[in-house]
Amino acid sequence: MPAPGPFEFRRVAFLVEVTQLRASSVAQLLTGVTLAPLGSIFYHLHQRFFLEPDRLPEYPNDFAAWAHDALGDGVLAERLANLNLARSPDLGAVRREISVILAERLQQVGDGGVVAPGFEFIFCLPRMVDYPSGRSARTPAEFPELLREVEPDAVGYHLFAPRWATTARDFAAWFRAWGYGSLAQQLEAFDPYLNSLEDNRAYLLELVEVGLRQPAESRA
Amino acid sequence: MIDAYRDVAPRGALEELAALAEALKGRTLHHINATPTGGGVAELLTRLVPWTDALGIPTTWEALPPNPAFFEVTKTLHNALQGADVELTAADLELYRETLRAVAPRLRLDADLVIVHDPQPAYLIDAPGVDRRRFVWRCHIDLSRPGEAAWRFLRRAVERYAMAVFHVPRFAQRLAIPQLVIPPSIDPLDAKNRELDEATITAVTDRFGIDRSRPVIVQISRFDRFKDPLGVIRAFRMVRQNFDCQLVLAGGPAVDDPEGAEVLAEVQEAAAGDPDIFVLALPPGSDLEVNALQRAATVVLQKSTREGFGLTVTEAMWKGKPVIGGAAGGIPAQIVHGVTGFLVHSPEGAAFRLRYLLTHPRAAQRMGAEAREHVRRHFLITRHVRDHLLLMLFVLHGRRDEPMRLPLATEATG
Repeated sequence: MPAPGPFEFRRVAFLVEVTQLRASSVAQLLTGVTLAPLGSIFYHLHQRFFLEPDRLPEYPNDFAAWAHDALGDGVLAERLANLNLARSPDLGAVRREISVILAERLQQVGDGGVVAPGFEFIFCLPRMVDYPSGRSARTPAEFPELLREVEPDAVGYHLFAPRWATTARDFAAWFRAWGYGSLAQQLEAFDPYLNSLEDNRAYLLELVEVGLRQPAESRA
Repeated sequence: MIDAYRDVAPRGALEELAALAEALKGRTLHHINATPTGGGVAELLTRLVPWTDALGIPTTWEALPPNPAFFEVTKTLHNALQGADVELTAADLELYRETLRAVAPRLRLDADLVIVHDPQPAYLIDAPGVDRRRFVWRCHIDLSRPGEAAWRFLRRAVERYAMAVFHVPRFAQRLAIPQLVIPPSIDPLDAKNRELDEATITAVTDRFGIDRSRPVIVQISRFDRFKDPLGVIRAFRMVRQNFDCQLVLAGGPAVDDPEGAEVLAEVQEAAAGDPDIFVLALPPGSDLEVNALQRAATVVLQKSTREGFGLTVTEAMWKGKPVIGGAAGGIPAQIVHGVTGFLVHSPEGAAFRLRYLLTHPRAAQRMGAEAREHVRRHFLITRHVRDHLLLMLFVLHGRRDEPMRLPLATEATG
């Protein structure tokens, strides 16, 4: 069986596009989450990781941060922060999970809070470009050194973009193709939403370096 | 010139620019704004134009010819768009449109991307021969609460552009065209921001009679009511009850701001007789003085009540200063409250935070260090150039629902 092709680390840059959707209350946020394009859901769940790559913010996604900062609803903020993104099969499922949390909160406390003008939740979209980082691993042995060198946005791209962009390549499939099935499983089980991008890089390196000490099983 | 930024830009930033510019080689970019000097936009363009040009994208810039009557109208329009209670007459609007009609044939309107900055030249979109698919309107002012009539007038022009670009999401409007966000930036190597030695800083403060052995509070901005210079004086007088300190209010004129002299006179009157308040009307090109005053500051203020972005905030943060800023316009996008400085809503709020920072110099120093790194990551010119390259890619290669992948496959471009 021929060796799999190289793993090309790609970098990503984006501009923010503002949509017409705004929310001033929990009910309006629920409407917005229901109507927003999936790209917008992706953006609000991930942009904070790219914004501060070496620091995990108090709330990892914009929905939770807005519930805390603008609505002053700590309970809602914690529920939205606790979304299990790593286990959700796709963004559509995440959207449903957010909707359920918001609907339950509305049932519990009603739609009392309306934020002051200027503090509305503004639904945005990422306009993204991905491009070669100039670093490609031809073999698994080359991978750790390159992962150590790439910019944090490349780490974020390969961890998060595959959830939204069909062209984005994740790490697990490549190692599986090289016959490292159990490493691939560990990479798939790894939850990148609990760490900053730099911490994620460190954890990934550890997983890969340990995983590569085991012999490859068979190539997929 | 690009290599000179290697030590100040974030890691990987220059490689990123090279990769994006490669996809745009040979394409042309043209900027049009109101004035060649004075004000934030002219400053930004002075630095941005050589950058994209150096990356292989021939870039040019033209300013509208000076015309006092036209600038009277556009200043009123500007104020109305930022929410001031002023009125534009039908004659004003006709003078505005007629001036642009007369100017248009003398301007270059045929680049692959033309970025038209701010309301002053916005109606150029109606000029004959304009390919609207390649025109982007770039807004640098606070449009969060625009006067209704002024915005209705401007919107008719803006909606004919391919895209509109704002500093922060909150300024975006209900428009039928895509609206993108690009915050402005500073150039860490220009005269206003480059490192200065102590002797140079002291030479400048000595020239103005500022005593560096006592705390110095500095606000740098044009003399404009939206910058609230009188509120700053009030805050200073509250603080001085506890601290022996000085206040510097320094700013230069902009040729499109006929109100500046009037506001300066009001500020001078409010400060009259107080030897610890320095009101400095700086001539154009006083970049060294601004740099030195910001570096001499113990704390920097930017107590605006409306603000397009407030680049002086970023400038001071880059110099490692904690900044107290009005929670207005683009200032909250720059200051991380409690981490790199403080956001305030009143002179009392400014006084309270000033007292805190003057009492806790170590906290002030820590905030200043955080501020510098925050600017490095988000507000240096390298990020701004990248955003312009991305904008060009999106205008020239159309809308994508998924990430655009470089290098681009060979294709017809729109």
